[in-house]
Amino acid sequence: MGLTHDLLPVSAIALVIIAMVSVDVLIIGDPYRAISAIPIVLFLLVWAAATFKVRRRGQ
Amino acid sequence: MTAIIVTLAVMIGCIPCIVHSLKEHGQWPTIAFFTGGFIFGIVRENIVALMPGMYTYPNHPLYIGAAPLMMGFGWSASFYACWMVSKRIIEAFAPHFKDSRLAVSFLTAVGTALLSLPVEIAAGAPETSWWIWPAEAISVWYEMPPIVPFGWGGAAFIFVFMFIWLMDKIKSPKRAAVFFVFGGSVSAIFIHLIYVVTVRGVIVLLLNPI
Repeated sequence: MGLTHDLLPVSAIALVIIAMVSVDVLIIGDPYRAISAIPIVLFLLVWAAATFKVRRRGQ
Repeated sequence: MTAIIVTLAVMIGCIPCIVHSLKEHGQWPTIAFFTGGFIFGIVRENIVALMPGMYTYPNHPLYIGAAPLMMGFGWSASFYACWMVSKRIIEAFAPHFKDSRLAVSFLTAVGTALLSLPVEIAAGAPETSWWIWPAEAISVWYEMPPIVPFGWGGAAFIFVFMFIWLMDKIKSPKRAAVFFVFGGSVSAIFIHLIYVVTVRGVIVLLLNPI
């Protein structure tokens, strides 16, 4: 299946991250709260590296 | 009424997860996962509302009993998305473990625990108050108590492990789905509540040594 298919669950996580960081900055007014998103963003970066590796292996 | 933001985020976030699951796993496993997740979220939060020393949900637009509607979508979307991300990471970097229910469920738990951080840090602020912990709860990061990532991660581990196990064990997808929705997800609620009470006890003991 294609990359668009792979991105579906990741897009759900990304949506939640963007929403929460926006709330931290725009509603709460404390940008330092957005630091809490860094660990899950790193987890998604590991996913991106994994997807790159799996797709390269498949070619 | 900023709770509409988190409600919409999880409900919209659930859609790509359902679409992905339909293509990846088929109709019955998808019905099982997301219906089971809905039951898990709503029933669990209604039981939590009766327990002393737990959080409350004062500012949500829609409720089923004492549980905000978003809980029916939030848990399953978080579990599913983190499960798929974890599966890919294991497939790439530890392929020997790709069929290990324990390894996949454990990494899903780690991902879900990490996802809990931005949600809880935003949810507990006085400006949002999507859920409020009691005054006696110890905060470790802004208003977030230390149980939070363990609670989210533990829920993901129990739910995903039970789902994979039942889907592997029962050969008929339709039967497996029915069994998971009415047996697995309900069992997961009680296992998770026992787990949360135990972990909370350990944390209290560690933070308040005699």
